[in-house]
Amino acid sequence: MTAHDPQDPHDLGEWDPSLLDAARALEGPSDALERRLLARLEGTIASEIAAPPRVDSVAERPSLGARVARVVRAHAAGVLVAFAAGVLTGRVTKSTDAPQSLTAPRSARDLALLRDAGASISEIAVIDVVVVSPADAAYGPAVGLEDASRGAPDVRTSAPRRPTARTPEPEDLTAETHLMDMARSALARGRAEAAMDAIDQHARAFAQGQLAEDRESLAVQALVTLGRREQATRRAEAFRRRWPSGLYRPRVEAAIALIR
Amino acid sequence: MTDSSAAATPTRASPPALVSPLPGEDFAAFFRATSAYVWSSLRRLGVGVADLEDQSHETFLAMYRHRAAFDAARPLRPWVFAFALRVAADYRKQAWHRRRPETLTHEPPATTPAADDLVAERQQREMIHEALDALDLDRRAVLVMHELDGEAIPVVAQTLEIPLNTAYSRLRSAREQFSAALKRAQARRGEP
Repeated sequence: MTAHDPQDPHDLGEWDPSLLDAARALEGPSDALERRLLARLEGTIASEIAAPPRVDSVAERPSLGARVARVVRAHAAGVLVAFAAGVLTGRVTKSTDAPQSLTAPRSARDLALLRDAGASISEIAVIDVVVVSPADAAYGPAVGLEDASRGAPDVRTSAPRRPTARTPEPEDLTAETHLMDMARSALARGRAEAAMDAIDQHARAFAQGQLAEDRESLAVQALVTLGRREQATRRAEAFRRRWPSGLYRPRVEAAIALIR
Repeated sequence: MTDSSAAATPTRASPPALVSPLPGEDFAAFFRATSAYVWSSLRRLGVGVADLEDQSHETFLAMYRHRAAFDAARPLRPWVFAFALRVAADYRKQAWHRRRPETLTHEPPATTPAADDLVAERQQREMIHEALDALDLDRRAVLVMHELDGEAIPVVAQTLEIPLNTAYSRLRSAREQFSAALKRAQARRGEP
């Protein structure tokens, strides 16, 4: 039995993963429903391409000023800080001069769609710069063309929060995840040597990486599969010392139980 | 709205293939490769059975509109999950769906042992979804991503754009709440 420390944020207490077993398999639509869904989707996409979302009358369409005011309200603090910085440095720029790094990748066709929807180039720049953040673009549904043309995104509540300083770095985490996926996949296919290669590669590149616990649990499982009992036992002991109530402790114990 | 429960089949392997056509390439192929995952994720995030078709449509439409923003260097599944989560969050804000009964009118007749197993499995799954309903969406998303999709907690934190310790803390409380809710659901159904 493991002693639990409720003050330790990584101490997750007792948990029986089998509670969720019945929900592990994916439950997809039937083939017929999948075909229907795809046809429906293609129909919607085709109609959007043929007639992009458009506000019918000038009266119904919020003015550029109103739309800019809306996003400025939503980002008031950031805009004020940026404006103040601009005033201080004497480099207040027009919206169209915004740095490209703030804009999401956008194809020529999407820009054409924006123009077709009645947006001028300066409006497109404003919408791009103010609404779309790199985090939106990379990880989730950004507020984009359709939301802008419908005119009702509440970016204060609907846009994903920007990563904080303590949010994992995306690049390293991607590389780490890739190596762990390789190890896990090799292990699942019974190729424990290949799994160890990926594990060793991770250990060299990311000794204290964010997925170190994942790596060490996989290492124990791979070593057990390879019949390297002593190494598996040593690594399991090190795991217990480092992550006494770690997420993957049950996997480690289950693997070690096989060679006891 | 359509009755999607009629045609739902719990037959797909889990987790979904890591290698899939990317959303910016062949979107129809991308749809076929990920439809089961989107469907399951929406269900796990609280979308009612009868609304799965409509909400899947919304999810894929949103992904289509933002396909240019997909970074092929990053894993696909968390990107897809983020869209499903957004759609599920919007869905849960709508009050009307809560009043609609969850009708599973197409239960197969339990005349053979295999059919009995199927019914028992489906009931078990529905009980899990019922227990998941006890969680708020923030905790539910962490639990689903980590425990069902098998994503590491740092990946969960990155996808949901929350600090690592918050992800751990949500997972811990989600596990506790889920375990308690499942016990209550089992007690209501007279199961041990």
